[in-house]
Amino acid sequence: MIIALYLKMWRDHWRSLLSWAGVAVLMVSIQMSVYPSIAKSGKGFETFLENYPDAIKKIFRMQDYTTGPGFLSTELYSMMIPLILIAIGATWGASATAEEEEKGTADLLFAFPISRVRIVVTKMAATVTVIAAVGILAALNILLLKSHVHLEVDGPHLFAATASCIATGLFFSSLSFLAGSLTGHKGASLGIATGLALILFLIYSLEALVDTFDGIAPYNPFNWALAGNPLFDGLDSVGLLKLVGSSIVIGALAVGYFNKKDISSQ
Amino acid sequence: MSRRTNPRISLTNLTKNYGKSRGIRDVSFEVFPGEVFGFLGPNGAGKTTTIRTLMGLIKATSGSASILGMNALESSPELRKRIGYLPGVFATYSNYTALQFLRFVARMRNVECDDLIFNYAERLRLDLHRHIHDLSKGNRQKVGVIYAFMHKPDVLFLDEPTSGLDPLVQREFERILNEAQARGASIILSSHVLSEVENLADRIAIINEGEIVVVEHISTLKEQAVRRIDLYFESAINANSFAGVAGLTEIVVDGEVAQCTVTGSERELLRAAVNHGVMTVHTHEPSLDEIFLTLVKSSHPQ
Repeated sequence: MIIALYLKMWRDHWRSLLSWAGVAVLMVSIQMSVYPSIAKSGKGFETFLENYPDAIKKIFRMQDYTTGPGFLSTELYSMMIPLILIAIGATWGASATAEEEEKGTADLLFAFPISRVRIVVTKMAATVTVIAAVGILAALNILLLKSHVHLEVDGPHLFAATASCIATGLFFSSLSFLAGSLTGHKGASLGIATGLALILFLIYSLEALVDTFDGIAPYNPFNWALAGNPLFDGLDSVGLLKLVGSSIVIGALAVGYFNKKDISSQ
Repeated sequence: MSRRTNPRISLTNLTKNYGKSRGIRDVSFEVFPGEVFGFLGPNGAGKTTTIRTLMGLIKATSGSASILGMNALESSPELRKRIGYLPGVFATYSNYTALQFLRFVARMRNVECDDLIFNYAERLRLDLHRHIHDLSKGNRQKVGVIYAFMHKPDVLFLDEPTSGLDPLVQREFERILNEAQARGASIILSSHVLSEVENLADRIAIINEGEIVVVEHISTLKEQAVRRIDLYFESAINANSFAGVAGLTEIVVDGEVAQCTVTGSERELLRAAVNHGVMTVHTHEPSLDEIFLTLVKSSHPQ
């Protein structure tokens, strides 16, 4: 890893990183502040939820909504936190090589006496750490606030859910690296990664309603990340392995292609 | 310059094919230690493609290239450590100050060169503490010049290096270039204006539409160039008096004045003119740009 380049990535993105971290903390804090009123309504709320269609309850993981894991799962870990981490990962991935090519700075960067592979891998390492940092920050925020709002959640289960979200961010960031490597365009790279994330999330969400989506489920990264219900059941090592393994394969393809390609100039 | 030594840079039939759009074809030349080599051609002729191929930024389709005894087409980090490169369009990280950027470059190159950075900045009159996005095109180019020279490379690829520099700074740039040359660096200096490299390079290659037109010493090119000589005589002269004079390719006589076109030495023409009582001789020295244009046009006549 190249420390100067690793730090440069953090430096270049610190404003957007601060914004995303702020959004994550604020969102967690707001949701946590709502929890006491949900918990207090207890049975009444559960009776109210019983009238919801089963499919909707399944989509938003609304089983046991008034419990700590149920509440966190519905409000944060089944959509908001994964999407924030995907957005960060896709943005950093898209800027890693594609933005350098678009701005013409790739001629500088890849003229350094450092192999292309090391440069891209360093950028990937910076992306992984930033995704992990924001994911862990959200989890720490929950741990910090949980006793104040009397929310009970198992610490290892919370970190298992965090690991799944981080791995989901990692998966789509590696897609963004690959798309950036193939196209050399930041917009295309970002569009492909986030577009795919939204489509796959939609498919995952509607699985309970649309039978034809059942065939896609085994290959959908959102299933790998969320279907195991890590907040209730702990670490889903198979799902996690699929996410991390496929991210490594996609990342390796991105590096392999970039190592051979003609770098475009302004 | 160590002539007759092994070349530092050697290209043999280097070809880059872009499919339908033009690349470069069979580009061959050599550059020796301590040599400034002018690489000339109109915009889009293939200069940047050649340099970027040597830098490993784009992959050659065929041919070979060796720099400092290493295969340039493999573009190893070991080789790039010894190369300074100024791209044709020097795009850089504009959110840095010039100093922050150059220190980042030093860290990426794993060299300590603050002294040289400050020295060059002073000589080029560059304020290192200003953000790059606030710098004019010329000042950004100065950052590029420092970027290329700061690690004392053995080989330099400078793609249109003086673009945007004012004449005073250009002179300082030439001094920096001469210093690099004096310590034995081999320098490829690309430009689309021949007069720009006239004072710096001994030899030049001219490339047009992706192919090398000529690789030659500038002095030889000048000698071989077509010149016009006007001869003024005391009385009217007959064009036939000059028939068979070596080097004379055309003569137009108008009374006492003969307008002659000569290739190579003008000695025989002048001798004949003296024998016929010439009063005044007016020589039109060809400009290098004329030579350049003639060669480029003759390489691909429309």
